[in-house]
Amino acid sequence: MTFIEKSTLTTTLLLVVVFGTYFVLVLGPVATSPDRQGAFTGLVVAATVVLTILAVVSHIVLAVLFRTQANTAHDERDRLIALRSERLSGYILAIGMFAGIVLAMLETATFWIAQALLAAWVLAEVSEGISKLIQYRRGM
Amino acid sequence: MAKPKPTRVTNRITELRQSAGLSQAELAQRIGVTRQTVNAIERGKYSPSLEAAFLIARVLQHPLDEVFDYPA
Repeated sequence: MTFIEKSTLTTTLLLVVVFGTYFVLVLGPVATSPDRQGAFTGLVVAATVVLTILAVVSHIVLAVLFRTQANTAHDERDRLIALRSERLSGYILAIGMFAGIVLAMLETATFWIAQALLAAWVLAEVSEGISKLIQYRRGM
Repeated sequence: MAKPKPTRVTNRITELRQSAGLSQAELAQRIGVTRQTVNAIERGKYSPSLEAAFLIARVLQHPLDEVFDYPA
């Protein structure tokens, strides 16, 4: 497994765990709370900070454990896999953005529009990671 | 039943590389890709760019169509 694969796997798992927890909390107790706007804002900030810290720490650990692989430059295969995965991610993000626009047209509460947009972003990022891992493993 | 490979391009890189006494890492370094990419090309999991294919053929000192093949 290359360093890029390890990095992608780690980032994708972190996204699933951190934002999975976020959505369990937000769609559960926070959605029914009277101050859901304030609560979800705090949770978004907290989830973003936690994700950033965990991503930095995990990549430092990966770089120490796999020192020889860490400085490998990306080649044409890496770039092609990234492009294909980003294209998939772009489609998912676009669908999410349209869903947000439709929710706004329907005058849905800002809270739900924000959740839809955030969910689209998380889904797009996770799909990009999974797509990369599949292409590295199965070939392209 | 054998799993179909992602690419129909076949190649003789493993055989020619070993004849030339090169490791995957050495070939990779000479054509400017990672060892994992050379491995993926040899196993039919990735079709290299035309530029990389020419470089591989040049390093292995064989014409391009002796290194790579595409079924008619």
